[in-house]
Amino acid sequence: MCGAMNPADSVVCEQCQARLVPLVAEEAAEAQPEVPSGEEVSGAEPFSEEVSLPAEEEPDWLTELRATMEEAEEEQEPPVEEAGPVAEVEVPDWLRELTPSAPPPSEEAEGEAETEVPEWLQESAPEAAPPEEEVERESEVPEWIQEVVSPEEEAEETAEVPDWLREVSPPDASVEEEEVEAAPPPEGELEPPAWLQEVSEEVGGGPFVGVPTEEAEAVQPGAEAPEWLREIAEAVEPPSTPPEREAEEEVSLPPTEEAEEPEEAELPTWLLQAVSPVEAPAEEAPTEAEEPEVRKGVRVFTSEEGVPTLEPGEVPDWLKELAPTDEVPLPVPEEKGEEEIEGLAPAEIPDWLEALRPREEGGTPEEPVETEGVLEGLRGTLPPSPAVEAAERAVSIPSVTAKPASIARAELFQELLTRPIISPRRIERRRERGVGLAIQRLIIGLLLLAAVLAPMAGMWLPVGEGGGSAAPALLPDVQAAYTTVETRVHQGTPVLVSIEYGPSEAEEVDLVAQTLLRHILDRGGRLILVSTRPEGPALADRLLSALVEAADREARVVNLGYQPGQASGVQGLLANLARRPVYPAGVPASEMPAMEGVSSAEDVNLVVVLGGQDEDVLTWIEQTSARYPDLPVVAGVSARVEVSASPYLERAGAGALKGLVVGLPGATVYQDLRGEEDRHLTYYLQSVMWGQWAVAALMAVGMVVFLAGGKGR
Amino acid sequence: MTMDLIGGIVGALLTVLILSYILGDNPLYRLALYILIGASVGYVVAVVVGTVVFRIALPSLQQGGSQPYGLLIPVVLGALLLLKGFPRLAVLGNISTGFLVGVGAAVAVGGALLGTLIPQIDASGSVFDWAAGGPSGLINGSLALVGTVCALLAFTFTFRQRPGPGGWGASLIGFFGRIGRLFLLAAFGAVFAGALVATLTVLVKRVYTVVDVLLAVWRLFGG
Repeated sequence: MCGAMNPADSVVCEQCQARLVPLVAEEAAEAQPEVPSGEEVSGAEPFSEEVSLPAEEEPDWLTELRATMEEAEEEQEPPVEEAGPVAEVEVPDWLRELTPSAPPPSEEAEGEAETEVPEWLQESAPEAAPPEEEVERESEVPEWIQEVVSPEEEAEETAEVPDWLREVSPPDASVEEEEVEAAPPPEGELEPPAWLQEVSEEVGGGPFVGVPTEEAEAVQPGAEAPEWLREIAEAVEPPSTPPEREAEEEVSLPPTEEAEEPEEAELPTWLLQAVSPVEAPAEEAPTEAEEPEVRKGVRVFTSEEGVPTLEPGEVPDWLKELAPTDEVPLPVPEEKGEEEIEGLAPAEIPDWLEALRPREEGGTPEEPVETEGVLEGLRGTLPPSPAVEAAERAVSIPSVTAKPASIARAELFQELLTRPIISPRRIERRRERGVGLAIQRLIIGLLLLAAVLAPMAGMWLPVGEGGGSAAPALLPDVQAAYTTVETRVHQGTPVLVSIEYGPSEAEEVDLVAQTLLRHILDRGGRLILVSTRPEGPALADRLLSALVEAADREARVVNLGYQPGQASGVQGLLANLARRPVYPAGVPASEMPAMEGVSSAEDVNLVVVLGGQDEDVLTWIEQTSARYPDLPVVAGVSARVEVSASPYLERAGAGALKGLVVGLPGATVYQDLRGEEDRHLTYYLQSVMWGQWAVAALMAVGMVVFLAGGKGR
Repeated sequence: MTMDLIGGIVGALLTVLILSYILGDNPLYRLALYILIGASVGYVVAVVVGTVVFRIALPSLQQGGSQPYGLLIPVVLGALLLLKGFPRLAVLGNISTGFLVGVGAAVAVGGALLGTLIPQIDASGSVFDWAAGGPSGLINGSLALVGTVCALLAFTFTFRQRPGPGGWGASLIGFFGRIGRLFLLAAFGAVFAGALVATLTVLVKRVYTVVDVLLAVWRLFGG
């Protein structure tokens, strides 16, 4: 609002083109040109037309208030009876708190209704009730309002309070109001604040009293109107308008019930506090007879007859800061009579107001009429809104663009589907190649067999003659093993023997094991056998049965059986030998004569590892050398373990393995060192040598054939 | 006919069945193979259960005193390990598995460090020991050192060939890596030779066993 002075009949400000007359009020005014007469409202002056601020000038608190009104509107609860007099309506706390420091409002010239007053102030300000014409004006309510509210309901629900007002008002407000309405108002209770009195004195107005209102019995269509309509009315509602001014200004403010009993009006605390310095005497309190004067006190909110009004742009800060917060209750709405819409010209409804218009659910002409079923002839019983809303909520699916690779795959798949079915052809084996392969295998097998059996026949012996000694050259590792046994094993010396091979390696390792164990037994040593392989105990038993007489077995040999746990099991075994059960009896090893004086590996003089696999042999070597570095270890292993065990020889510098006897050649050499002669070993060794030659020859032939065949092969 | 002869005959028969693979895969070979595998597995299970449960765990629990409590934890862990066979309860077996893996790895690493790595490194770099063996000792020691280093460099795959002086290091590593591969070939040849000797030894032993059984049967029937 620009605050410029405009003629009273101006609808739009000549300066800023802002609408000065609310829309609904204009409609009401046009429909009801009659102006209430009487002096009871002469002192009251309506709010200026500029109370409906333009959308761009709306303060934030007004926007929030509208949001609150929308929420209240959604609840759709039936309104309750509104309190009768305005004085009984409790002013919101936010207004009470803010008022003491508030300066008196300014006044505009008489007849000018351009004072900019915030809507909240208008809503909370008392409204002058028009005379008893309210019932007649019901017919002037727009049709769409009459559709919603019937006259009977309006008459019955005159005192009903809107939902939003019920939330704001204390629970027992209506009860208190009824009581106050029945009882005469206490004197001095309606004294206005000092600032109001000051303003009134300046303009020569009457003493300030409570908010003057008209008869409470008047039917107030606003109470039955939709809430959005009430909001509209509240937005444009002037506190009170003198009848004679209403015609000029084409703005008629509806009377309120509270105006009937201004003495009963319950002033807010801040008003009472403000009045206290210049507190008017109780006898000055207006009575019903002084009602015209009382209503003059309302002029503080108007611009009539020199009554101070707010000049444009002079809205005090304390009013601007009165933006209600969430906690602040909504101002008490005034019951609006029909006069508030009297003489109002139809105007454009602002967008924000149009947005508040309740949605017409059902019954609209646009909706189709049911043609069948129990709902036949009814309109709008099955609104299509859910389906429409569901469609609105549907998420749009992003467009999918097929990649060239996907298209290519799809085309390939389509091609495969359209391709005619071809019965799988059976692949015929190349019989010639299968026969050739079998012949090759047979030739190789027969050649190896012949090489192996040749020494047995005594023909073409490559080494020695007639099954003589076939011992290869002296092996230093075998010599070291022999020396170790000779030096470490004596009569009754305990020797820990690990059987780490199975049936698949037994044919080879047994030769080495028998050679070594026989030597130890011949030296008078005691054998403590153990194995980390489940097959080990049985092999050890079979081995000992051939080496030791049954009578001497308990005294010379003890089989501790299977030791689970691999490396950790070896560690545990080395640390505690005596607690192991004896295989297969299960008795504690400590009870066996062969275990006399032996509780751990520290008590044995030698460790012999007989293994056919790398891992087992290395585990024993590592764990023994790590825990007992000074304990000598001798290994009798398969030929396949030689490469892995050789680096641990003391001769190589590692120092853990004293001697190594490898396979058949090692056993043969060991027997030679002991001065024994076993013709079986000689035959075996010669057969192995023939077999090696045969394998070497086959490898050479195969290499030549492969090279001759070239890439084509 | 003694049990040894019967056992020898059965063993010889199974040996012939296995050797029939020289003619290709056949039912006789498979029959012998299945018998071998089944017998081995059954025997292993019987030994493990008999040894661990009936000879170690139960007798210790029956003895009383403080020892049963010491075996309680292993027994519980072993029982939890059996739950690995049930998919829904297999999670409970992870405790035992974790314990076994953790302890086993710790012990194995300790043994490998003290029993293998340190001694092998010491043996590879003992120049004075080589000198004590004379010229041949020096040559053997040098070959062992060079072979070890080059074999390790042969497994270096992360160096990138770069042109210029910056790529010299990579070139040198590549060169010694190729030398290391020669040492590896020699080592693999030695391993193959050992495996061949072991296999031929077993073959020779089995062939001699079959011949002995045949001669025994021949003699048994008055041959």
